[in-house]
Amino acid sequence: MAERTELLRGTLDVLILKALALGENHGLGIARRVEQLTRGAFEVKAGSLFPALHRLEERGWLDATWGESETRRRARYYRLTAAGRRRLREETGQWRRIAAAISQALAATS
Amino acid sequence: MPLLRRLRSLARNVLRRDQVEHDLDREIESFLQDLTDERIAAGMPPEQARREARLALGGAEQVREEVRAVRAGSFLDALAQDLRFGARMLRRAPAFTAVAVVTLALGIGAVTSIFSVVHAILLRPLPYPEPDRLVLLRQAYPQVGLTFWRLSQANFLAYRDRATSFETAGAYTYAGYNVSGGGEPARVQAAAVSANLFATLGAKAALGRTFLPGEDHPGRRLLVLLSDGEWRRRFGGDPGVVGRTLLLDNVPAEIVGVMPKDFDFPNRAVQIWTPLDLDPSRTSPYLLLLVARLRPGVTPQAAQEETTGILTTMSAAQPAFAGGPTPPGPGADLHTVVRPLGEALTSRARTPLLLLFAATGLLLLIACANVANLVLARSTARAREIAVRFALGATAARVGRQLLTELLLLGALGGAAGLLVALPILAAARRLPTGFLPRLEEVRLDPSVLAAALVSGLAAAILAGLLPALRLARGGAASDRPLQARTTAAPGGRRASGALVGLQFALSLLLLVGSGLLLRSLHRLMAVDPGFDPSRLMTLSLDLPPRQAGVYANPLGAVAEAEQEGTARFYDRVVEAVRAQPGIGDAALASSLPFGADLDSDMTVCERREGKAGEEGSLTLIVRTSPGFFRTLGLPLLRGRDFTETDRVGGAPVAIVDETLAAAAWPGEDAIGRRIRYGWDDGPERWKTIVGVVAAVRDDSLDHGAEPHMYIPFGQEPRRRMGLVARSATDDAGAVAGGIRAALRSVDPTVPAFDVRSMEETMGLSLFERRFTNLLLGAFAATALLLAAAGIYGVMSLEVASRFKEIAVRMALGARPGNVFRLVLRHGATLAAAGMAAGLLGSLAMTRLLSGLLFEVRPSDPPTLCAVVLILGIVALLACAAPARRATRVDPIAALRQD
Repeated sequence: MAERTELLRGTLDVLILKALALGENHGLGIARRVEQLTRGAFEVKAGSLFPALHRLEERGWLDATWGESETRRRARYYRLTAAGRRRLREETGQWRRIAAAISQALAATS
Repeated sequence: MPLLRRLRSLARNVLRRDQVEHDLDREIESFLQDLTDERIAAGMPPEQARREARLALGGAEQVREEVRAVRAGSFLDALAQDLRFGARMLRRAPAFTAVAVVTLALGIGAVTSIFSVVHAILLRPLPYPEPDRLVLLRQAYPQVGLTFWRLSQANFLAYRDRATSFETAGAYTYAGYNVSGGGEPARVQAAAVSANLFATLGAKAALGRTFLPGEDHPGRRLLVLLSDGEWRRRFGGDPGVVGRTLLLDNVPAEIVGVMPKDFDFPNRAVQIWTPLDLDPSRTSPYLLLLVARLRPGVTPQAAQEETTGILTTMSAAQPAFAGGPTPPGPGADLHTVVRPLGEALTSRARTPLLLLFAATGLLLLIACANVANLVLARSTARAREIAVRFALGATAARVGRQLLTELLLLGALGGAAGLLVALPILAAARRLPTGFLPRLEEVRLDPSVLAAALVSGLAAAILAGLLPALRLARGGAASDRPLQARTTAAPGGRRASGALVGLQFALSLLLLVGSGLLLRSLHRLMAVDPGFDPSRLMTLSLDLPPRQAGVYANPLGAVAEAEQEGTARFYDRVVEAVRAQPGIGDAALASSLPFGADLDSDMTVCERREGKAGEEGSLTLIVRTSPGFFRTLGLPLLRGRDFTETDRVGGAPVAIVDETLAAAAWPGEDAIGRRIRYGWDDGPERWKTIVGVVAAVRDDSLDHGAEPHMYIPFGQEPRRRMGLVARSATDDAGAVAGGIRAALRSVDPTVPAFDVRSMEETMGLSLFERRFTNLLLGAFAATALLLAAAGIYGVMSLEVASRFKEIAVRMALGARPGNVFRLVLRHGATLAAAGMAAGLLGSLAMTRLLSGLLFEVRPSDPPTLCAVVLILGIVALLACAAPARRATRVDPIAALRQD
């Protein structure tokens, strides 16, 4: 699958899921929350954020509704679906396994 | 991922595209606003905040494009884009597009029209419930020449009651009635059926009912079922018709029902159905066909084994059951043939149709080869464009997809144009005489035919474009010098074109050989001497209803004894009245006319020596004739005498045989004075003394040898149904038809004449099937020839154009125009010859498909092969001549200066 080969995109997807696990949010809110979660290691650009949001929505992991933002502007709010939560759990588990394996491997050779 | 959700988003993306786009715009707009607000809140001046927010967004259109690409159905957008581009490319090369589409249309039109006929006749299941379980049963006794032996009533009842393979079994035979009851009396084709035939088929009446059990027992009053067409013609579609009376052969018959419009068993010509009067004691005549519904799970093979057992048992117990004059011996190969009904009804049409279908397949392949060559030629011109696209970063897959889309577009256009070609062919096919092809009226453009056109179009386009597209995509991707492409075709491309031209000639040769062989067969058939002179002969049929009102006219029976004299007198008056008409040279009667449908055959036994019968019977055509029949027909009486007016019922039984029978029964001896009988009844009154020998005659079909005939005086065995044959004194046979009708009216205006035709017309109809197959195959072969000629012309033109410089150099070095002309011609001839050699090999493989259709022509017939090779060779040279002449006009100086 594309998620495994394209690491960056896959990473962004799981970060978005994680960001939304804390509660529904709109585009910029998600971007800012991802930046917070990664302590600024990732800067989320619109050119990758929106395709990712729409891709996740197409797959049924996110739901989107029009709502009002804190600045009283109409914004599209995204929310995790049940499938999205499941996906986040799977991705988290997988990520931990990979991370553990890779750090172990790197520790062994150095 | 759940499929449902995916479909929903696909539907939304495709169907509510504007809404989705609008949402995306608003979402990006609000994101931009949020970015701006964020910066303003951080203390940035609004102007600067807006600018920086825009920079951070990184181009709204690019974001939109990225989002579109991840959506379900994004491939549709790409496809639409490819299609638009493809359409533009095709429009930009109108000559290429037109030639390619027309070429494809010819191939696809041919394939589609023949496929729709094949589909309607061979593939579409019969319109009855569970048609797979319906079978047709006939009998065979090959030792005595009975390969298609119908059933007697006793046979039918035995199978119906004893065979456990059958759930139900019904029987039918063809009949005809003079129908009256308002208006001109008309001859109507009918089927006499067992009461359960409709239930066996699973057919119900549209109005009223079908026949009830027991209504096919003897001695019941006559009932009739009408076809939808007869109901509308005769009763104007009156729903109150059930219970009314129709006169069939002057016998009142109660109408019990009307069948639905699409019910056409056993064929479309049958307009009314009457019940048989089944009598188990009747072991003759053998007129019935049995239709059965197999029990679930029983195969036709198993049913055949079981019914063969029943036939063997019955013929042992009751020798007459087998129909022969001598009981079949213990080892006699007496068996039944059980075949699926759909297959049995269409068996005759199968070989010609499959042959034609194969021919259209070849034609489509030839068309594909032409289009492939066109695409190849164009790809040379497009190499530059493609190279530019590769240089701009297009992937090989993307370029390949674009080229494929273009081809598919071409294929779809070709398919649509092919339908335009197919439609008039289909319209013509539906107008063919009924009875020639079964179920022909079901031929129509239905979804499966449309699908066939589309699929063959797309397949043809892919086939045609595969090679060029592969070369282009690969060549473009691998090229280190993408912009160096010139108008010079690569040698590989020329080799491919050459191979395609060779293929076209090979396939064209197959088609030409096939149609040439069939044409020669037809000519041989038309040259066959039928044994009599068919010119200026007019024929018609009459059926005299029983005079005695109320007597059930049994379609299976002969003339009742009490009516024999009256029948004979009626026909005497008919002959007399017709002969008295001006313009009539001669006229006579026969129970079956040459090439007619009423040929009657039976087993005959010839007395080899005085008082001693031959060992076994042989199958003989039996014709009851009036005096003067042989004279009228122009059939020479070799020895003895013709029948006379005094050969009547009660007189000494006499017969005339033809030389075929005489030579077989009494080789080297005189047949006159010998005795002969037919049927199984061995009484002394059955023996007939031979009084004459006539020449052999072919009156069944021209492609069978002359069969043995026995003629019996009509006066001694009158038949209700007789054929009249009259020779016109003038050259025009049709001119006497009016006079004959007037003569008939003067004898009895209530007896209609039917099947009024000249003998030559009848003989032509007997060859109609062959003519039709030949005509279509010839048309396909001619089209193939045209396409092959166009193909070699195109390729050679390109060849000359691409070898411009080489030719210029040759001419500069002193080659004369004649040398150049021959050079080009030789190249073309080599391609064509190689193709034809391959085609000749292929034609050997065609032998099996054709051999059943050939008449006195071997599949390797040298004159046909020579003629075809000659025609193809001449066409190839003619097609190459123009490009070759163009080559001789190359101006060396101008050509070499080009670069």
